Amino acid sequence: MQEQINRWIALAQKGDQQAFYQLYQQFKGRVYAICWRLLADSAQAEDATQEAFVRAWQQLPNFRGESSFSTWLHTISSRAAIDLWRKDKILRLVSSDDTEQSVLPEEPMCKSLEQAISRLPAQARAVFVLFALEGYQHEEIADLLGIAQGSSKAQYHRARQLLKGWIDEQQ
Amino acid sequence: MNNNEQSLDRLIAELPAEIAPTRDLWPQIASQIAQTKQHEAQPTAQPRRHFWPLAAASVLIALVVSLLMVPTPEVELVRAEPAPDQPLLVAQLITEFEREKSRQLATLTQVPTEFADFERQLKIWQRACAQVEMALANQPDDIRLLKKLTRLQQQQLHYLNKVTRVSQLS
Repeated sequence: MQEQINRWIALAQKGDQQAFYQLYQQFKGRVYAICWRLLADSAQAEDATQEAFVRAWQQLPNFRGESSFSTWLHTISSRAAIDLWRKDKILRLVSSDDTEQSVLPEEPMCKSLEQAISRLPAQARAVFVLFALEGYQHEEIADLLGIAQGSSKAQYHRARQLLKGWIDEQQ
Repeated sequence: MNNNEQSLDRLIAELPAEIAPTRDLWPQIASQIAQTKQHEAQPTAQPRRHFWPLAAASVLIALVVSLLMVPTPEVELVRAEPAPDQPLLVAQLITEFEREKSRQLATLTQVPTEFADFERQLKIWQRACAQVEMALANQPDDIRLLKKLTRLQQQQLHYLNKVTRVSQLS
């Protein structure tokens, strides 16, 4: 499979859209997953996924294979989703902590961890997804989200507390 | 609590690596990349579909944010002369909010049972907004009222966003 992916990459780097379509088919689920988890909104996740693939197409000639294609695409996807996340935060006028609920139980019962994550306050969710699921360090997260490193750690702690509260409810 | 820590870590590890998009995104990607040249390091991206509406909204919001960022000690909250553009700003804010609300409502195909009373909830917010708007008509320069209005709008959009998200998940 990896050889096939390498062939598609090489062809797509030369402008072959059909090969790029195969790469899209292969990786769309992973790209959408990170976008959805960061944005917790299907329409926005779709926008971010599209943006990620367009950026990947543009930057493909720069891909030299120093990291795996999956890792490279993952980084592009995170950044596309975070750009949208930041834009959305500005459009919402107020800081995320200002109005969002601080406890999950106000909401209808979450059926899965996925849903519980999606209902975390925006900033806590973004930090949690980037740190716990995507393996970023707090320093990188602070840079990506435009927040202090201490805030990143605090938001991660907050997210874990909320999710542990959710687990308590399930038991 | 330690059990919860372990349970949480286990659940995180079990999360799927992939989630399927609800629709095929390729047609739009294909149409965008057809107009996009590959490059070594292109400094600017192609114009996006929503560039102009977003740009207009950003300008409006930057205006509001700059107003809200102005220090507002109690004595300054009611100015002698109302800013002439303030009513226009409020009107634009309401228009922008209604547009976003309509967009979110349009994506709601089925109301989740947990949010069966969502229309009633929205009406409560609408009444509150109407009262603040009325107060703003009398005191167009009161920053506290403007803040209250934007907060009420934000709460509604946040709530609607949750309703549509749950609707899409269920």
